[in-house]
Amino acid sequence: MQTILETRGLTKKYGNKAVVNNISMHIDRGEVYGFIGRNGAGKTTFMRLVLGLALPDAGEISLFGGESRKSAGQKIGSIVEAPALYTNCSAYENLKRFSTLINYNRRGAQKREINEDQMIHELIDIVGLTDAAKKKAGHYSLGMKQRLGLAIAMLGEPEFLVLDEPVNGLDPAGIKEIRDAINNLKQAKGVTFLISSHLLDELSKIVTKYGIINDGYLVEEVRASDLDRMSSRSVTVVVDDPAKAVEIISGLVPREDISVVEHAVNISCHNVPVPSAELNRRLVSAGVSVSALHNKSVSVEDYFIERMGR
Amino acid sequence: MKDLLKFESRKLFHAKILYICIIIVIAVLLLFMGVQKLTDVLMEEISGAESDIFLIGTGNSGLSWMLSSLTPYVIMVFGVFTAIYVCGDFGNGTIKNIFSRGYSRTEVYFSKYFISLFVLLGFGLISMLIGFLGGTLMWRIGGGWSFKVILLMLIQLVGIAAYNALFCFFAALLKKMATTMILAIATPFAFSLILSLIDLLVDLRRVNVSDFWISGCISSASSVGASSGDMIRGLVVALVYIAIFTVCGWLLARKREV
Repeated sequence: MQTILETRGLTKKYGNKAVVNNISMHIDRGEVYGFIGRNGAGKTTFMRLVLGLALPDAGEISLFGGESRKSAGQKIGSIVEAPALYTNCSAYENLKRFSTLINYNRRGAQKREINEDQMIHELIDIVGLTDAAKKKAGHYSLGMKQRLGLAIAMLGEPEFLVLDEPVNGLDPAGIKEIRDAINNLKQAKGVTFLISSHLLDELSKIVTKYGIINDGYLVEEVRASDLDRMSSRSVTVVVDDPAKAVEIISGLVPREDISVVEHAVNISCHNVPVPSAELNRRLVSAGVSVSALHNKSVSVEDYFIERMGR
Repeated sequence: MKDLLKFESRKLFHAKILYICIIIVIAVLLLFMGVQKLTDVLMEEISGAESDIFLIGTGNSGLSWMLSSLTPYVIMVFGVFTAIYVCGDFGNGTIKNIFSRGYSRTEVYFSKYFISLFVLLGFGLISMLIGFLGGTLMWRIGGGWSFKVILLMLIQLVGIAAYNALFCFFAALLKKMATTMILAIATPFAFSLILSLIDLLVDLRRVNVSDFWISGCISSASSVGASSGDMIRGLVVALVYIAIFTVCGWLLARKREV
């Protein structure tokens, strides 16, 4: 599988503070990489480094397996911070203007046949700005600006999209549209994404891999499938003999995942799923009286908050 | 680079500031010529048609106005245009869409530099044309036409290129439209003034320091009576400024973050 982005020891300092600290990241083709962290954790700076907007103090960035930035940049679309638009121009003019920056010859011969105007109108339709295409972007709502920013990012059929808070300012319908657009691009065209967002539930619907950043460090990378398994189960059993119960439960889950509060035995397991039915059967068989058993689901959000140190 | 120039050109011809600056340049020149004409008429009324005072005003012609059309006020408009044009993409963040598409800082800097140069040279030629037409209509066409006039115009255009390099350097240095504009407006005036003061205070006899500023280059070529020595000096000084400010601006732009 082709590597789309690889960073090695990427570091960016402002003054003495390392905003991005020795980050090594790897994104394969077709992945949707969700970048999560608190405000000021270094997400946007990392994205700016990847896009060449900021210059690293140390480390390396390799795009599309080591292509030059000039060639790789033609295959990348982005929205970083606020969408960058000419507010005195219409959506059409914005797209027309930025489309001149796409060098189709550099992208390969098959791209030459694309009709530029047709592509622009298609993008306007995709982001739902058909009725406002002739209106000046300065008169757009925040959500509309965000959509136009996304259309600009999608110019030239990029293979890698870097989106910093792409659903900021969008209403629920708009969020769904963007999510659907991302899913379509991923499935139909195999586009790779690096997305940051604070809307973790939204992110969890599209992401295949998460990267958690805190104080400039990449704290953890986790596959969405693993996260679903790890973050979903927590069980509390109320028993008459907690000590005996702990002994029995230790045979099913690691001891460090078990805690006792009076008669309640809590099993918060991040490593293996908790087989609650089997647990109940063993406890009852061993003569431990179970008066209650609660299955609790730990949300993705809780998982990240815990990892981000809050 | 070709794509970037295409992008900048499309942006340029859709920019209101281009047309506003052209109108201001024309208006400023017509105003100056109008005031001069009015002064001539008043002088004539006051002192009589055959007096010596009236004859002073007869130096005005299409040719003289063409060669002296690049007044500090016109240069000021050039500075305003360059500040707005070069800093615009940095101010509204659209530069992010350019850099992220793989264009280098050098390419971006020089695409803006060349488009700005192209526009300022156009402004210069328009100024000369308006000076010529206005001067001819209000006074006369003027004598002394020769190949030298073409050379004088070319030297002035090189002077404009030096101003463009200076303004682009300010844009690379300050990054902000407002501060670049202030500096671009103030510097041509301030430097001319300071260097003239130095000339007054320090009597170097054979050399005027003010001749070695960009305005000195342009004024050295603003009269058909200019000596070849003055013309060569003007040309060389302008070329030196172009080299210095272009290299300095480029060095600053190379490390620029957005």
